[in-house]
Amino acid sequence: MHYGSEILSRTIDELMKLPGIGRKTAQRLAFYLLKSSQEDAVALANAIVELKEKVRFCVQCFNASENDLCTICRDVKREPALICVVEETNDLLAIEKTSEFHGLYHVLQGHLSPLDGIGPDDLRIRELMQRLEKTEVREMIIATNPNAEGEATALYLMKLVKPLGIKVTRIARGLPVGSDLEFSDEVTLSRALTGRQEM
Amino acid sequence: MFIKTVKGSNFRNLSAFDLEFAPGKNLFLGINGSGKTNLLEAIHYLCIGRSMRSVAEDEQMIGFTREWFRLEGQAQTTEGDINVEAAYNKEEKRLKINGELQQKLSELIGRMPVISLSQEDDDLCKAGPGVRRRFMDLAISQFSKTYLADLQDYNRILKQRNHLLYAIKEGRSNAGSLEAWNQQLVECGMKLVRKRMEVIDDLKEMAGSRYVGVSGGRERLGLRYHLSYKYEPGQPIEEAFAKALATGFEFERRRGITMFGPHRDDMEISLAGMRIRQFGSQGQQRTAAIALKLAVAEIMAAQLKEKPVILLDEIFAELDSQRAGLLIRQLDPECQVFIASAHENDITRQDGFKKFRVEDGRIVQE
Ligand SMILES: [Zn+2]
Repeated sequence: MHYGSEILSRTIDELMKLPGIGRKTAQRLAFYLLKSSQEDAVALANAIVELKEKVRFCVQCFNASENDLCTICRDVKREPALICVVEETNDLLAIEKTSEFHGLYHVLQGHLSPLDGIGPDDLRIRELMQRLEKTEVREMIIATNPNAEGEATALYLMKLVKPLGIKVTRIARGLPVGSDLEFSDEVTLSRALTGRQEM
Repeated sequence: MFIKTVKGSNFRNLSAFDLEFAPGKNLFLGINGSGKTNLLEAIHYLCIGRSMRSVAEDEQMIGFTREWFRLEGQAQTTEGDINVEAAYNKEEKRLKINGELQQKLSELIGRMPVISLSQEDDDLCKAGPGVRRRFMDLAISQFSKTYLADLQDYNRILKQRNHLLYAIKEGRSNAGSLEAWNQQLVECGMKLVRKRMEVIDDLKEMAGSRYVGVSGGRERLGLRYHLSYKYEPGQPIEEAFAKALATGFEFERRRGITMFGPHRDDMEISLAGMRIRQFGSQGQQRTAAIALKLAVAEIMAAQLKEKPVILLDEIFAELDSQRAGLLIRQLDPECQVFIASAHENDITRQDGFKKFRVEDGRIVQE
């Protein structure tokens, strides 16, 4: 497509690579950036560059981190024998907001979804198993989303972890049907967390 | 409930219309191809957001050379008046209830219950199991939101499991995570099976007496839920289902799709103990289909505390006038009825019908 500027069309193409962004939205964003102030545009560009340079994933739990270990894993007040397994960093943030949980996390970075060609090997499951072997874990809470994919991931993990003699619980299904963890309000989420059941 | 008004633009061959209906019986008169069935379809679409024809895409409902269609209706229900607007423009379907845009089309389901009888229903007794599953799903979904949600979950799990089986068949994946999908397929599938069985139990009684009422005969109509896998009487069904998946793995792997579960089950219809699909006459099959539909309307009315609207499309054409009379007498007199017919007959000539003539897409009240 011709936008009268090679750079503009390149910007649009790059924006379209982002999840959930189609051509129309990409165009709107590009024109917005074109009209925005120099400082704003540079701040955004710098943030993206710094994000890629300085932020990576925690070597232990795969949460976003600027060091080898994330701030949660480094926090000595947290209980390392309690691990909450989530799909994405967003879910971790939603649980952190409730202040109900004082253990550590493990971010799978996705869920089982044959439709998208995602199997167990594409998730951070191998790393989770190594972690469970290395450290003393009393309880593992599975907080994957209450939909088909989250449930399949939970069932798969349960089958894998149960033989290790670790207590496995699943976050209670107090969430509205069809909702994702990320969007559920804090009250329902904290109630679901305290009411978790053993699988 | 009853539908007070329906407005439409660019819907199939119909010219723009704005009609006011009787709370009781309404008759659409017109020759084949005039558009009288399309008018029934417009009413059905407003009630549950889709056509009663089994093969009808939204796009086909847009009038020739037009880009969109729009329907609007007002109905009186036990919960008060409801206004529904439905529009489709080849890209998106929009649904508004009382002026509010709805995110999910399923929001409409159950608020304006509808049941339609047409010659297509002959398939209910004649065609393959898919038609009967669709019949059960559509009927139950209209009075049970839980069933509808479970059905949507099941279809999602099924789709994922089928993709996994296919990947295993192609050698792109191993079977390590299959068990996780099996467990969910069984758990969610059992919710569907239990509800269908429960409804079939009710349906059996009601459809049986409806059959006698419409046919004037004495043959006993039987219904039985038929599982798509081996089942020993007395065995828990979930156990049989799980076993079928476990022992049928090689079979499923070769085909790359899920071969067992509620998406392959059936409802067996019999007459005097004989399977109607093989042994029933044309007339028996038609009468059984009508009896089933009427029974569903009765269950819906009881479950929703709301009388469904009944649509009859050319149903008299192949019934003799005695059976047609018996059929009309079987209809709940409190239900609003819409009948599309090519001719007047003894029944429609009686008082109490509000009549509309449909000619070449133009609708005129008589
Ligand atoms: Zn960490």
